[in-house]
Amino acid sequence: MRWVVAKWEFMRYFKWKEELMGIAVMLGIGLVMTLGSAAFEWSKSSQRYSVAVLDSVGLEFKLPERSQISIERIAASDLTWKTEQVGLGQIDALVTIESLDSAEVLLHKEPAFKSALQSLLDNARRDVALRGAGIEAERFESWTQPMAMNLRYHESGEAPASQGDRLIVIGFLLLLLSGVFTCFAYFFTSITSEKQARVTEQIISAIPVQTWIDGKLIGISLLGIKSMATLTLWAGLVAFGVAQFAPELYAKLGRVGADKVLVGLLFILLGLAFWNSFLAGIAATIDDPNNSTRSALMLVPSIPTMLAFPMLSHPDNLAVVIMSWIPLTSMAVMPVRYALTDVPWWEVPCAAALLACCVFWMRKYASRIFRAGMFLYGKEPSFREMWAFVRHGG
Amino acid sequence: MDDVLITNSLVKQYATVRAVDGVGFAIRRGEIFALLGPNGAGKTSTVRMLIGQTQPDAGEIRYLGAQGTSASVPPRELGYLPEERGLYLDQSVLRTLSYLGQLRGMAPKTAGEKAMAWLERLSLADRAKEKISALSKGNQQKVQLIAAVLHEPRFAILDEPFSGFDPINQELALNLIRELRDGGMTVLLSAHQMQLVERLADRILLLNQGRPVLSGTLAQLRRDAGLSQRLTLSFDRDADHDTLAAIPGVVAVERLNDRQAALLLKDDANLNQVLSALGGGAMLSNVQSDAVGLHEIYLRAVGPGA
Repeated sequence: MRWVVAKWEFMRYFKWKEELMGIAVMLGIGLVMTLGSAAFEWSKSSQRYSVAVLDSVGLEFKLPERSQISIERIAASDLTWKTEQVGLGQIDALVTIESLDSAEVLLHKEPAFKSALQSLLDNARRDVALRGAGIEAERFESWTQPMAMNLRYHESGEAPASQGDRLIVIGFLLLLLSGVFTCFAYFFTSITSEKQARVTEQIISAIPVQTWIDGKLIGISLLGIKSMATLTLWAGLVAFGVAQFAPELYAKLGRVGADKVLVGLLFILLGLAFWNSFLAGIAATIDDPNNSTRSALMLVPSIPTMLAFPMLSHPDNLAVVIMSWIPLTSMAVMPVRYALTDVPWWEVPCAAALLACCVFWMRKYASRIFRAGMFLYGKEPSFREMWAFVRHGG
Repeated sequence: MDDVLITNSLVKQYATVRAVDGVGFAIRRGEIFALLGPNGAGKTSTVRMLIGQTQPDAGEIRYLGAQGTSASVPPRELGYLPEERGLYLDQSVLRTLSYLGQLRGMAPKTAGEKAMAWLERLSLADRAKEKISALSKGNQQKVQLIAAVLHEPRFAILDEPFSGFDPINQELALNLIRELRDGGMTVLLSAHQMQLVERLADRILLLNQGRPVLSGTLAQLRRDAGLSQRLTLSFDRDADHDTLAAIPGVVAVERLNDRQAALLLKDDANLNQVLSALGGGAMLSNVQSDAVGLHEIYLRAVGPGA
């Protein structure tokens, strides 16, 4: 019977038409953004700026290939009409250089080419200084390069995760966050609307409360997983696009091994079951969804995932190890640890077993709060009353 | 008829209130049994114990069902129209009925087919795919009623089944419940429309403050309440209602207007003596005699001063 409830809960919110519409809108937005961004880049790169230079120092400008700036050297006699041209917007800038230390730039509007011009002036000034000191520009270039530092790790040691791996883990945490928030939203809507529509008595006269809450847990968790799967699909499409158009960038991405996927999935499933049980219990105590103070409690399940973000840089820290075991946080922290560092093999099944036990207990106690909460109309139980529900079954 | 549900000395105590205090009754298979009483009389608390949502603090419940004896009506045999109405307003009529049928053990296909048949019967077939929120209150009540009997339960508890219905639909619901009874379903009914209950119920139990006050058929209730007839009198001049109340055999006088009054007579009252006391009918322009109805019995049994 719990699968009848699960299917109902899932199909209450999953609608093919809206789903396909959502994908179409996302694709449309992606297309518009890509085209818009490409058009902007093309427009930016094809823009040319004409700069007139009155140079009394003798700088030598080395324009890079396909430079956006074109330099026109002028004589002092041209200064007046070039100034007028700036005023009319016919040229973009008039640069007057009277010493190696400063240049005056006359403009018609804020220059988009400011950094390119600055770089041009810097290089020209540096070349004059180097020539004066008798140093070749190429040699100076090599001196200013940072020293290459090649890191090697002893075979008995532990290589750190690459930036690509961290990127994948950040993706995992964002995915998890989306799953948690999806479940939060659906539990909140589903249960508070059922309370307001007063369907409780009807349902509970037909099936046991535990069956009802189990069905809800399955159905709404499936909605969370569906949301995560959709996002994964999008991420896969983006990765595919990157692989096609920017293979060098794609090569920097971390690779996800099957073991990491399995560990991630295991903790996602157990974690969602644990926190969704919590959500079901809390949602049942909410009487007025617009003004309830309990609504804030519904955000608690996102805390473990939030906590996991700062741990990315120190996955071996003792606090991280402990949190990867604690069922309140292990959903997010253990997969992060597993992906970024070497975790002794036995830790994963032990932490998973601990979380599974807590799922059992959370489900049992949440259903007690759920049962009592669903019959309360016009008031919200105090925390003391909720504790009494947990202890005595409401 | 044999009994299908027997309760003895049921007690339900909440924090400071004894909601049910020694209630005992037996419901016969295939009858319509009305459970009546004012708000707070203990009807809902009793019903919740019958369906196993709460447990009695004392006393016993025995349901003699298809699967043997149990301490409450098993979900598969129960049809329940609760006092608190509840439907999924954002879902379609047909989907909701099918879901509720499946929760009672029906196969999805059967639930859908039977739901459609019921919707056709109650003139809602063309609205099967609409959201329930789009229906009027009366039509939502029809859906609620269908949900209670869709799976053909052996025992149906209908709490306020006429709520939200206009007179035509009240009549429709009344005939429907009779048909269900005639088809073998046992019905426990609770409603505040006394005239409808009077027409529908085979037997009645009247509760007040958690205790049984009267029980039996309407005739038994009249007898036990000590009431027999209701005389509606019209006078050709203003009537002295105090004088009417003093006539032997009159239990109560209801003032209808200055020249009209209704008298409730004791079950042993002599009609001739009452009329003689009115002056042999000299002042009367009209007299109408009816058997005392459930409404009067109810008011006398549980109303102010009862």
